[in-house]
Amino acid sequence: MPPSPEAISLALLMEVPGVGPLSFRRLLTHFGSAGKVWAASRQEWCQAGATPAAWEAKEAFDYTAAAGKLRAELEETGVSLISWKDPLFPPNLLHLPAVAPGFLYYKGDLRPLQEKLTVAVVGTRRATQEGLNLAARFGLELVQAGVAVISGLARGIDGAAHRGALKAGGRGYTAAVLGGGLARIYPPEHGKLAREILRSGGALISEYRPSHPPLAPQFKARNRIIAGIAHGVLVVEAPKKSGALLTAGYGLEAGKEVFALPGSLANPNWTGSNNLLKAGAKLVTELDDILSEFQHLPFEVPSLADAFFSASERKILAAVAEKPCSLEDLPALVGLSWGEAAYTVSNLQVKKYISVNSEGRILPGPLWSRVNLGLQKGPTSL
Amino acid sequence: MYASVWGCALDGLSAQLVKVEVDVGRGLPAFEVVGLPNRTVKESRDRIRSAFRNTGFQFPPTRVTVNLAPADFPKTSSTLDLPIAVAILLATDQINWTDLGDCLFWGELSLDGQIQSCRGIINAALLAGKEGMSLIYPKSDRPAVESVSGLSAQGFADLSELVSVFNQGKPKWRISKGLRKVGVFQIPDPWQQLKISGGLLAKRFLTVAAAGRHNLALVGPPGVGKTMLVQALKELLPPLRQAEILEVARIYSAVGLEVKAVLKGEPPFRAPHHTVTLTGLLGGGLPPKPGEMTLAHKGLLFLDELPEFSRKALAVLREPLESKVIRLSRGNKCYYFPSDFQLACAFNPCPCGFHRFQPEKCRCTYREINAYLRPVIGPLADRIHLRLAVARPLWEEQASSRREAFPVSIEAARAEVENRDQARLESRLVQEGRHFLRLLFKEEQLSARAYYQLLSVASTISALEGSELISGEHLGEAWQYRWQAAEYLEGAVEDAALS
Repeated sequence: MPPSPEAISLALLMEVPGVGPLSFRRLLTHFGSAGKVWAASRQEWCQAGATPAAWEAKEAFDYTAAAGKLRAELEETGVSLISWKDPLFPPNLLHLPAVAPGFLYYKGDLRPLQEKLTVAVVGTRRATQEGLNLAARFGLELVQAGVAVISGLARGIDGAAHRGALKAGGRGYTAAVLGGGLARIYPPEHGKLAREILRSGGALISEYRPSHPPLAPQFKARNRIIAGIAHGVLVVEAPKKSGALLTAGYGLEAGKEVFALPGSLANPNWTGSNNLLKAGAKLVTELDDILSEFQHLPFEVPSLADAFFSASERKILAAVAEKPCSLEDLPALVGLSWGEAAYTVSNLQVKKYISVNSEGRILPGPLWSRVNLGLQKGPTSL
Repeated sequence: MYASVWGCALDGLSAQLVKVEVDVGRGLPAFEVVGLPNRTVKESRDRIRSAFRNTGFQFPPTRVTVNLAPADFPKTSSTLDLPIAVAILLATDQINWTDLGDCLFWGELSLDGQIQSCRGIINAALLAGKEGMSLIYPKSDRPAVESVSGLSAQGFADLSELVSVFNQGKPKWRISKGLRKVGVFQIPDPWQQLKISGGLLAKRFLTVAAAGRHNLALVGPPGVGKTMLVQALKELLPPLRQAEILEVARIYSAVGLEVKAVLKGEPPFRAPHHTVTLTGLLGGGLPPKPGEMTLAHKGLLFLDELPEFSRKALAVLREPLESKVIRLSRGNKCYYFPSDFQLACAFNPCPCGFHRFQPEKCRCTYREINAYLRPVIGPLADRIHLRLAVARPLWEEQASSRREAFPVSIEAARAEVENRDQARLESRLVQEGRHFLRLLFKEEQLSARAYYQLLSVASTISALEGSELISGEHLGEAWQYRWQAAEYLEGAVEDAALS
C-alpha cells in the first residue's frame, strides 16, 4: 500500500533542520495536519511555538525531490509508512503523552496490535542464562495465551523474548520496534530473527526511514514507542542502569501496567528489576500474575490445557519447583533410581515442562504454567 | 670383492627389505654409498671405520662402494650401519660363516663397536617374521623383539661378539614366544587415585565413554576440572587386546617412542598442544612419519582447548573420525596410516571462559564468541557422541557420591558393546524405549546421525547395567549427555531452553 501524502509530509517535516520531536508535536497540535504545517506563513509558524530559523529551513527544503526520494526508498525496501490518522496506527500510541511519533515506518502486519492485548518484554542486553530462559519462557507463554509480545530486537533479553514468542509456531504474534531504519537491522546478527518475525506474521516498526543508521540516542527514544504500544511492560532482567528501566518509566508515565521478575539480591544484573519491584511494580512469578491485571480489558485469554503426570514425574517436578537442581543431585533428592530419574527428566525436558540449561541445571521449562495446573488437578497429592 | 647381506629401512609404518651390497675394489681409499641414502646413512662410514679400528677389525684401505637396493626409496635409518659393516667384513673375508642369506641385520654402530638400538625395532621384527628371516639386533631390544611370536632372532651387544659367534658357525637362534598374557595394570579405583569425589554425572559420563569408546567433549569455565576428568578417563580405558598391541607398538616404534607400556597393554594417550601443525597431526615427511592421530590409534586423542587449534587442524580431524585411516600421498606412493582413535576434547564456552556460566565475569563480545566456537560446532561436534557441561568444581557434590559404579566392569561392558551388531541395535529396544524415541522424533526433529548416536550410547549404558535390552532409562540417560555446542552461540540459548 503506497503511503498517504499526509504520512509523507509528516515524515519529511521531521527531516527539516531545526524541527525536533517537541516542535513537531507543537506544530501538529497547532495546525492539525502536516499539509497545513508545510503551507504555514512565518508568523503562524512562530505562533505555533517553532523557531523562525526552522521556518526558513522549511522554505528552503526541496519538498518534491525529497518526497520522490522517500517514496523510491520505501518502494525499494518494501517498507510501509503510516500517519497517526491511519486506522492501522497502533491506537495506544495516540494516547502517549507529549512526544508520540506522528508517523511510523513498518514491515509486516500491524492489525493484531489493534485487536490483541499487548505486553512488552524487555531487559538487559548482557543477560544471564537464567534471564534469557525466563524471557523466552514468558515470550512463549504470553503468545500462547493470545497476547502480543512486543520488544526491541536487541541482544539479550529482547531477542530471547522474540524467539520465545516465535516458538509458538506461527500462532503467536510478536513485533519489534527498532532504533534505526528497517533496512539496517541492528544488531546485525538478529537479521535472521527479524526475517523470522516477519515470516511468522509479526511486524518490524521504526520511526526512522529505512536507510537511517542505528544511532545510540535513538534506542532510548524507541523505548517510548515500545512502552506506548503495549498495555503493560514486563521487565525480565535489568541492572541498575538499563534501557529496560527507561521503557518501564515511559510505561508508568503513560499509565501502563509495569511488571518485573524478581532476581537474586547478590546479582547486580537484577538490581534494576528489584528496585522496580520496590518502587511498586507488580511482582511476576507466573503468567497469571500478568494476565490477572488485564481482567477489565475486553481481551480473550484461552485457558491452558490440562496436563497429567506420573508419580515419578510429580516427584521431580515438585523438586524442581522448590529449587533448580542438577541431574546428579536429583536421584538422592527424590528417592528415584538413577536410570528412572534420567528417563523422567529427559521425558519432561522433551515435553518442555522443564529445561536443562547449559550448566546442567534443571529449571522450569516453557510450559511450566501447565505444570502447576497439572499438579493441582492430579489424582495424588504431593 | 663383492658381498651382500639384508638390512631394512623404514618406509612409513612398515620396514622394507634393503639389500646391502658392498664392493671392495682397487683404487684410492674411498667410501661411496649409493641408493638414495640420506645424510644419516652416509655418515655411517665414519661410525663403521672407528668401530672396526676399536674392535680390531681391518677397514679396507681401498675403494669401497655400498649399494642399497631397491634404489628408488629414500633410506633414512642409521640401522643400516650393521648390515653395511657385516657386508664389508664378508667382502674382506673377516667372517668365516657366509650363509647369511636369511639373516636380517638391524642396528646402529657406535664408535667403540657397540650395537645400538634405534627407532623401528618392532617394524624390523615384524618384517623378519613375515619374510621368515632371522633377525640380528641390539641386545638391549630383546623385550621388544620377543613380543613378535615365532620369530627366530639373536641379540648382540657389540660387533666383536657378533663376529666371534658367526665364526663358530650357525648361531643358535632364539625363538620368541610372543606377548605374555596382559597383566592387570589398571588402578582399582581411579577416582580415589585422582582424588575425585562426587561428580556422579561426570563419572557416569566418563564410564560410558570408556566402555563404548565414544568420542566426547567437555565444556565449562576454567578450573572446574575438565582436564582432570580426561586424565581419569585415561585410567578407565580397558587394556589393549593382544591383536591390537603389536599394531600400536609398531607405530610407536616407528617414531622411536617407548613401547614398554604399550607391550603391557596400556592404550595410547596423546595430548598434542593446540599449536600442533597439520603435519604433526596427520603425519608427514619423506618417507612419512605418523602424526598424533595415528599415534593415538586404538587409544585416546585428547585435544585440550579445542577451539584454539587451527581451523585446518580441526578440518583434518573430521575424516579420520569416520574412516579410521589417514591416506597420505607422497610422490608415486600412497601411505595408509591407521588412526582408529577415540577423541576427547575440552574447551571453554568463550575466549575468557565464563560465557553462560558466570556471565557477570565474561567480557567477550558476540563476535569473539562466535569466531571462537564456530570451528568446533557443526560437522565436528556432530561426530562427538557424548557432550557434557562441567559447571562446578567437582568436589562440591559430596552428597551424591554414593553410587558411582555400574554393576558390570568397563572391560566386560566394552567386550559386550563390541559384540553387539551396531546396525541391529533397534531390535534390542523395549516398548518404553520406542515410545521415548517416537517422542524425540516428534518434538526434537532428531537427525538420522543423532538417532544412531543416541542408540549407540544407550546401548553402551545398557551393557554397563548388564542388560541385554535397551530401555527408556538407558535412552533417557543417553539423552542427557547431548548438550548442543551451538547453545553457546548468541541467541541459540533460548532455543535450547525451549527444547
